[in-house]
Amino acid sequence: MALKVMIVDDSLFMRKMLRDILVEEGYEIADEASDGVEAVQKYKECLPDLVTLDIVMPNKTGIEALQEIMAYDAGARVVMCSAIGQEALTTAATDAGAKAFILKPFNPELVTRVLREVAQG
Amino acid sequence: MDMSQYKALFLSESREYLRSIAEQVVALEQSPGERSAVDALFRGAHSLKGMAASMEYGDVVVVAHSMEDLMARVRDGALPFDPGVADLLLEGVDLIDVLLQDVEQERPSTLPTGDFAQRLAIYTPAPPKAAPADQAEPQEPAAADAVTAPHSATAPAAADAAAPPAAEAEKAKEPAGEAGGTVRVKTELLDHLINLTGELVTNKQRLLTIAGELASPPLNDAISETAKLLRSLHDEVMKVRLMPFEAISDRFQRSVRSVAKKSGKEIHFELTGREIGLDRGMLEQLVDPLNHMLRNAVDHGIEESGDRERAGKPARGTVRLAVSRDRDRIQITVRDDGRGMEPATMIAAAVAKGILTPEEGELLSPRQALMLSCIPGFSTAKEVTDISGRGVGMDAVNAAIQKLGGTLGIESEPGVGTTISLRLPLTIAIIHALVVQVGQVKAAIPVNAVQRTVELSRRQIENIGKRQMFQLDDEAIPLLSLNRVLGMPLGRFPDGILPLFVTEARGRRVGIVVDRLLGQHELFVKQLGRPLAKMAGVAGGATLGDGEIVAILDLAGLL
Amino acid sequence: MTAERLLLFSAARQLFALNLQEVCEVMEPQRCYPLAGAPSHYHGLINFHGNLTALVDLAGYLRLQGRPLPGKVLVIDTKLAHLALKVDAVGSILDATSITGASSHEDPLTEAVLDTPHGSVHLLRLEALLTGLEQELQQSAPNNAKPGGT
Repeated sequence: MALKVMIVDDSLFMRKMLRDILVEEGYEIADEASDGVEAVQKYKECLPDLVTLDIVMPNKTGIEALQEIMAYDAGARVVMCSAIGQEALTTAATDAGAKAFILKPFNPELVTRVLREVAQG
Repeated sequence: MDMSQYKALFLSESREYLRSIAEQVVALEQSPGERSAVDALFRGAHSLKGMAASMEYGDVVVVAHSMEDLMARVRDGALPFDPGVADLLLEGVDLIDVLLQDVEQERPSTLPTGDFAQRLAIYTPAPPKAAPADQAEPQEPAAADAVTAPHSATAPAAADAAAPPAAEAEKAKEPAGEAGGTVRVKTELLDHLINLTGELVTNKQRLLTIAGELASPPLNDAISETAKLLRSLHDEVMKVRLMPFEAISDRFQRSVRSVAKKSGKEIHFELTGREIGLDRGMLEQLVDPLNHMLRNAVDHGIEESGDRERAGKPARGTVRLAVSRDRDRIQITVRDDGRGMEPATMIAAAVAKGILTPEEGELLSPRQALMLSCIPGFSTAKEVTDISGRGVGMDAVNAAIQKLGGTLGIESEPGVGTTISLRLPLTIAIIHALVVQVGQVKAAIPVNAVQRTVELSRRQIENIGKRQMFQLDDEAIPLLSLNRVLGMPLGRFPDGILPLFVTEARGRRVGIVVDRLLGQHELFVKQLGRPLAKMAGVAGGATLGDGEIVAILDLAGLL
Repeated sequence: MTAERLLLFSAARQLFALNLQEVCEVMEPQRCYPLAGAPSHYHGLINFHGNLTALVDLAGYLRLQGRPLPGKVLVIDTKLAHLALKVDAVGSILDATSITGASSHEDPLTEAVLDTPHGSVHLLRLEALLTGLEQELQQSAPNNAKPGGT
């Protein structure tokens, strides 16, 4: 059965790109969210198998959203999306429970490989 | 991965970010401490960079990245948000805007971006001295859509799709998934819909012509029912094309800000009615005229702060841009509390320039005197604008508004200020027009330009000097032949009756004589494209019910 | 310099060509409505699939002696202009391979003078033609410098 992924990014462009990559790989898109608050709320609603979570977002940053998602579901498998130059934030994200990182701009092979590894634990 | 499929989305979303950044910058200048706006600015630049990197548009990445870094320094307290930072960010917005146009046109960019990035990287605030003079004040920031990019703009979903620029707007932002019931539609589709509706209107006119010949009551009923349905269809399609005024308003804030800065004046800028919907096509054509009016208000209307204080006014001048809707008309006013205009001074200046004789000058009402500023030869001269306090390019503004089927009015009180009001139709595609016959040709005149029609007996014509005049409402009105204006043979009028319509040209009423008045028609305006779009005096064309094509005359451009 | 396929046509006893991609239809002359105030080589406006299109007599515009033929109407691609050219006759489509020689020409309207099996052909620059027509319209604008306001 296809794994359900939730995509969180404030840019419609980024969500669309990621969605196309994931659908191509056979994932099912559980939902999309465009900010941190929405991400937490929608996570609780659709309980996806995987989450791709942007770090720089309005309302609640990706790190804050990650902390709340982990507090709600300690088994959540969240992959952070970050740009080059945000290395300082990756430690905070790992501490908060992020399983892996994918770098922007997205490289389709890399994205699918990272997600597969996280999905397989 | 084939990225070309994402290009349109990239362009439209990037432009939304640019607009949001520009508005945030102006907003932050008013309240530099607004933390959430600083964060939003940083995020805007960051998102732009990420998107451009995905598309591999290196130049955009360089500029956006340098803006992001600059905002990171502001966010981390290393740099105050001062006017220098604001200027650099706005420069970056303009730079990216040009780069995006290059991307859209698929032409290589020639803009050097390295210098800009360098300047941002080494920017340090100037040592504090005199406070900057400009105080362009925005209202609560607003969302906007890509008016400059008709191919990527998405009219009906504009409000919810646009990036919400400032802090409070961001809090109020609906989650994307809850924007229920809206879809993004390509603007070409909207244009196509209005075209089809227009063709239907034209066909209805055809049916009316045929029905007139057949004299069949059931057919007449069916046509009048069709006409009703068509009117509703037209109204609905037009609603879909409406975009909020805020889609263009951020430019005005910036232009007021920049003129205020250049002229060293303190300006408080107010904008109301940003939510009012206007036709997409009309919005695009309002940008230049409104910019012109606002620049005039700041540059020529508002006095130096010293002069203002001596006159007992607040040092800071106020310029208000207000948009409102009155049933099927849009009203836009630009009001300043500056020095105002003196009708007598305007008349004296026009007489001095040889535009009016002193006798003609005496006949002008104060309102007509103010409209002198819209006469081409009047307004361009520097010395005149200094006296009148306004006028640069007002002739161009007036012509643009008339072309949209609107009217322009000026009210002014010396020492108190000036208000310029534009009244515009809600839509530009379908207009009511007076169709006239001149020689072998028919032509249409938008009814907004027609004050009334008159059938004049030859006996009522007076010869005053070289001119022919007639009396209307106790006013002597000069006559002009449309045939002559258009270079056609003059009419003969064997029965001694001259059909004419009264219009206003260069601030005063004129009677335009034609061969025949053929009545009012509902016309679907079509643009003439190349090359005829360049023809002065012609605003477009339309098809009459019998298939005949008429030109829609632009009297302001013709007279 | 030369396009791959050219449409040959004649006006005032001269052979011309346009890039085939720039022409969207060749029509018989049809009902045309005069346009007041336009230069005399504008026959008027025609309705081409809902586009109001200017019909210009090419020979007249080029100040060449026209011939009293019913002629043909070349409609320029509607994406490029709303313009139709009245010409005398429309000939064949010329493949670039049949061009045996080409020389440049000082007239800015002419991209090149081509040597073809049909004779010497003036390949027209559409953009220059459009720009020329536009400039002419702007220059022949009604006299609005008249003093006195009327």
